Amino acid sequence: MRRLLSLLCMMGVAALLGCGGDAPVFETELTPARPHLTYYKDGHGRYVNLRGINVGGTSKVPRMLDVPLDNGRDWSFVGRPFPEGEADLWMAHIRSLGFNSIRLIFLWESVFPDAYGEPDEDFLDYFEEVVAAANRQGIYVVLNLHENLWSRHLYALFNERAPGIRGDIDHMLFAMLPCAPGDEEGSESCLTRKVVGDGAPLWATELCLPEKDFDSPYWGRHHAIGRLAEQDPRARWSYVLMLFDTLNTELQLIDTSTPEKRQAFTDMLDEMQARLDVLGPFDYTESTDMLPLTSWWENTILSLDISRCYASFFAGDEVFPDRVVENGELKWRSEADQPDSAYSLKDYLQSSWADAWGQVAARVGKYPNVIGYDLINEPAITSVMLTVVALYFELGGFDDTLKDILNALINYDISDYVWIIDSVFPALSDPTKGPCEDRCARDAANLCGAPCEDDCDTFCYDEDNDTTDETCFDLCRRQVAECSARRAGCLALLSNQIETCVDYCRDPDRDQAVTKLIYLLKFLQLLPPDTSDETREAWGMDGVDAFAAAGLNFGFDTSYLKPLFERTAAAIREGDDDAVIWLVTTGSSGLQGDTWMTMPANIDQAVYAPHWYPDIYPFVGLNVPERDFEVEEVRYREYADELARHAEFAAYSLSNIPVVYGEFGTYWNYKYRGEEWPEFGYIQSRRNEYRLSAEILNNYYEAFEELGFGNFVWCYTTDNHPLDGDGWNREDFSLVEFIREDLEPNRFECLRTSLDEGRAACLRLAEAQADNLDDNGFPAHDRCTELLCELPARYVVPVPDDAPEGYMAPRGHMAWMRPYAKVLSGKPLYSHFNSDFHYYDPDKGIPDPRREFKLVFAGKESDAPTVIFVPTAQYPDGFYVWLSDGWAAWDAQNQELYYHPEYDKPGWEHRVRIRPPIEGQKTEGFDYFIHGDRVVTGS
Amino acid sequence: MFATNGYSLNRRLAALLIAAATMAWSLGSTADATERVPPESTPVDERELSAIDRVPGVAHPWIWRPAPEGQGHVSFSGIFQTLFVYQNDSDFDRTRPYYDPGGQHVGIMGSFFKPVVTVRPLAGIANAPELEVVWDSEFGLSLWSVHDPDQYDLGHPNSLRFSQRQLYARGRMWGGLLGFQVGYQYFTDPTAMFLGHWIGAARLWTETSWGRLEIMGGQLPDQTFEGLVLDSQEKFTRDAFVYGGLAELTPSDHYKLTLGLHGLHDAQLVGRPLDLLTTTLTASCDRGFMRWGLQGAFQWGRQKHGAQGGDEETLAWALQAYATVLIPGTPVLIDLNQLVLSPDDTHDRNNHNGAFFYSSKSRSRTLMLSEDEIRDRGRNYDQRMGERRQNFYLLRGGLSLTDLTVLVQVTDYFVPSVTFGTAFSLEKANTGGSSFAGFETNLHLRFLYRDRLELHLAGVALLPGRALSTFINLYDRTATEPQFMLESSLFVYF
Repeated sequence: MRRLLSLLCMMGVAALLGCGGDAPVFETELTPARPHLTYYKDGHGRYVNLRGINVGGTSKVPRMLDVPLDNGRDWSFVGRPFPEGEADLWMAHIRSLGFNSIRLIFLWESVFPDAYGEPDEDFLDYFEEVVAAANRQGIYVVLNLHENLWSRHLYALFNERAPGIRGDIDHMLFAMLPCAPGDEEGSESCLTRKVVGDGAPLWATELCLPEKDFDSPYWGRHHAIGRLAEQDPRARWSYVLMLFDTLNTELQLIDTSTPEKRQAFTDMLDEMQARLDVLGPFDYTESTDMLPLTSWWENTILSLDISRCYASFFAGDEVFPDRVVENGELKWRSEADQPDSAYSLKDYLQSSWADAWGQVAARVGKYPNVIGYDLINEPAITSVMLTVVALYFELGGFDDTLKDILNALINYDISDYVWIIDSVFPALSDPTKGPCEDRCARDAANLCGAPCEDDCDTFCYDEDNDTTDETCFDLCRRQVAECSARRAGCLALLSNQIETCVDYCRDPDRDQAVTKLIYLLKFLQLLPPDTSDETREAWGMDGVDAFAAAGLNFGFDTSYLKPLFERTAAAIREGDDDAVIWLVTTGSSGLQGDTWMTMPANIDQAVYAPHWYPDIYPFVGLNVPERDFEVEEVRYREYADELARHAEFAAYSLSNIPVVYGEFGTYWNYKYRGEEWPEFGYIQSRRNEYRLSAEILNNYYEAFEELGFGNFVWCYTTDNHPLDGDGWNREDFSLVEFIREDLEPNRFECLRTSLDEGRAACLRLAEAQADNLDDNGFPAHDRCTELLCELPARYVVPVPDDAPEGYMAPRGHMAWMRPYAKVLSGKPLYSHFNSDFHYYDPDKGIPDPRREFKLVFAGKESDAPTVIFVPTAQYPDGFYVWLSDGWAAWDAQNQELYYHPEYDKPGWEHRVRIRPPIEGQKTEGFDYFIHGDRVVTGS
Repeated sequence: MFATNGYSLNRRLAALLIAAATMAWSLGSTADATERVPPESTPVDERELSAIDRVPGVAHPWIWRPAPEGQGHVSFSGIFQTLFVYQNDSDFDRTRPYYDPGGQHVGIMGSFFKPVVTVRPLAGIANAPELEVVWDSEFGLSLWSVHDPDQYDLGHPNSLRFSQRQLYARGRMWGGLLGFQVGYQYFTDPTAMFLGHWIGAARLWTETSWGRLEIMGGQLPDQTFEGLVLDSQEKFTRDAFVYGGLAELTPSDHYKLTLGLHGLHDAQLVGRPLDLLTTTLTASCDRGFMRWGLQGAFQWGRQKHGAQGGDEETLAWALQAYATVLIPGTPVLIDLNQLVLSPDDTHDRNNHNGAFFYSSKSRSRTLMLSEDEIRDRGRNYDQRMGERRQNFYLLRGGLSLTDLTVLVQVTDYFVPSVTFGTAFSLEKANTGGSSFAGFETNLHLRFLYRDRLELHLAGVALLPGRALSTFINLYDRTATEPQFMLESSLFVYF
């Protein structure tokens, strides 16, 4: 018996020989997340806390191709946001920065760049791969069909190298003009930059602006410039003088109080004249009426062209009832072959737009990481301009009303400046020159020259031979024809102005300053010069239902946005029958003031996704400098009330669906008050280590943590440029910067030294660079900073070889790279992180809880763990973890703490507290101390 | 020996343990079987130790009770103790706390009273079986600076502390053929390394000439307390049970071999039950002037959802060896103890756990590295090097604790001793990158009067290592400043 038992024991010995332990198994795959009441929940029943980032800024701008496509197109959106084959690299980077989701933008033009019904399959293939890469890297995706100012084919050029100081009025005015002759780069190229939209393809824009010549060489110059660029210098000078002096009267920016200053002003006007000489006149139809405002969104209000396009899209069947599209061609309904089956403008455009969504949904709907379809970006439909102009035509003009309005608005007496106005119409003001109408005709003659006399017979008659010199005659006739054509063209160009002039002569109030101002605006075609059919057609206002246009201003969301959402949701559902629709609104209420948009009919899973930005935008103007602040102006500000207020709509009107902020963010090129004014903001921001931007983002994230809202910051752009930002209107919002060796060699070297040799070597390099001054005496922005030296290597990505050499690195990250719970096993109650930018109330005997993270959630609704992102950037010396119950496992590779709560009692609140070692703080009772990949379990 | 792969080490050493136990069992059967005495009635009989040490207070005085005077119907016994403790610091780091009005030293004075009431309902009845009800309660440790004897509200935090320790009925019938002990009691497995808890349990045993067989079942206190009312909230399915049995063989008067198998089923956490089986094997020898013992425990278990990504399987072991020798012809006693607990691998909460579910009860005579035999305050460092898992301690770094004591009975009234102890972890990756935990030396002076009155004076010095300071220090985990303790205690036994 004893021997048998001994044998059994020995067999047990053999059975005990085995392998050691492997690393814990962490989550590698996402499960679909769907709305549940006011939350998002994943496939394990956990609450999902969306902390995302918009990808990317350059997606609004296509890539230019070295070799055009077969159809001749030399641009493409393939490669936006990332070059092909790099999606996994950048998605992994996004995850390492702490984001668990992205708002991935694409454009209508990306899907249908060439024509209606012809999707770009290459782009769809590429885009699907981007979504698939996000899935592989554990990133949720919300898709957004992005647009701003309708389309990138509507833009306004300006000269950023105009004379004067950025922000001054003379610089702004010069900025709208081409360069003077003899400038280095030539005339045309001096319009170096543009303010541009994005979204709709060209073929769609042509439908909503059929009278425009998109191929015109003048495209992008405001049509008022075309009015100014008349042949007659005197007329031009007069208009320019009038316009500038009028503005100077109001704004007092250019001092003309002394003869010397007046001369300087006149010299400036002469310079402008020279520049206009280069350009030449052009018609209203040869350009758009967008202004190159740095605050580009104001074009939504001011541009008639943009208003018309939005009106065509949202209400083309009402505002342009007689315009139909048949076989891709815009026609009058009366000219259509089959008018009853032809598309209205609205249906044609919206069906393509919805189809763009359908195409994308069919590709990506199968991926579990797709959690939302954000239907439209910031619909800011204002139809004021369209309404005013449409009613102007409809009512045959309402100059009297306009005069009354202007008289009411203009609170000062401009009668002192009547002499300026009179200088525009010297003949008009001089009663000795005859009746007013006659003076109009004489002005026309003066402007366009006398009629071309056809005296070639006389001129070429050879008396000696009693013959007509045929050569001479031919030449003469050609000259006459050219002259006549020029004059006819000039007269045609001026016909409206002549009519305006005649109208002016007939206006009983013509001596009033306001009246003269109105007629000036008409001369410049900032107002319709008249209400003739020709003018109406030139302005694209033929067939407009003015009252339908007016109706766009009331209850827009309910009447026009909601039907679009319903149409689009149906298209998306065909590709993804479990789609979650993300909704936004314009906030436009009904006529009674309380007809808000309610839930669209066919959408059973929805999220409300507002955007909000604080007062950070540049002031109104052209090529204005970046905003400047002092740190004290932006730090410790409370954004929670504003964010909560903007989110109220979901509870009040949209059946309490979840709220996730689709966009927020800050510039990264602020100027710092007190520093050199002419210096670009990006230089000052680098020198100050992005302090202002970090403070603003910290304000945001503290508010989001307080409110418990998911959020997507704008943005992540891999090819962000120091000066040009993301290449779209020079916006620089990216949380990562591309430190290029060719553009910023010192910073590049600094980062390379830090990565290869360590922090100490980097700091020595920084010290050596500290005294480097550029030629202008400004301290160089391109040098090391301590923050750059301390950047952990895991957050820095060398850019792949086919791009300029450089590193992609986060900036201001101590504000936004924060611990947070990515998914929670129970209902979230409270979460907060004290960054280095947090305001600390003093407590005697208690050290400031710097970089403390707290999380409280109720109940245990899932056996799956709560996953907390804990960035090592915030805890270089390690961190302590205190748990109310349960245990945790640490995934060092992904910087994630997997917390397994244990208590299952109703009403129990699970608590997690994380702190770094803080001098003077007691750490007793800790559950874990984690440093790198080393874990110490406490008692 | 100290393999970096703790889990592999566990398996190999467990194999060695079983092999050694098998061999020992084979050898034991050949021992002298002529001298047999009736087996003792408790797994750990402290009176054996005290017979050599002649110091009843050493090693768990609070579970010891003097033999009651006479065999009357009701008898009283107990311990009264007043304690003074002073330490230069609470950790090994001299960094001043943020709020530090009083300096870094720590100290207490307090009193403790442990009355034991024994009721023998059958006392005086001829030929009646042995039956007694034992009530063991404790007042304290109440600190003079905290607990207020003028506080009438028992629920107030500064009222004197009072707890019930043991409350059980014990019987022995038919000459030991049947014995039982039911109620709240201090229960240990044969090694006390796994189970050394005060629990509610029922034990049943039978004693024969060759040894004893015992089975038991009990419950560990509920960590997720549901309430007192017997209603729908009270369910066995949410409780923790211990169960097991042992076979104790006494092949001779001097040798004893015990084989135990005890299990734990802990279902307190919803959806995460823990099942653990511990096999123990002890071999001991008591030759009067010499005592030695070898104890081994092997654990296997599984906790559902106890690991990241799945269940956690436990495979762990523990070893304890001791030898106590009274040098013939001298009043010098030498005691040597060695405790080894298996470590976990370097991945916390993976599917494998190699750390031993430890009761924190050991034979070590160190006063800081292990429990303080003068007065256990529950803050011994072998506990604090581990994490608390339900009712047990898991030292993921493992532990090797060695101590050597030299005790001299100078007179009947004065018995000084000096102890040297050292501790190491077996997996330094789990203890801050260092294996050395600490070196302790203590000088322990005992003044005795008739086994009823004792005065203890102890001075302790502990030189810590980073394997210990990592867990203890409040700020700088790498600091290893020495720690000193002065302790004195007055015992009265009755």
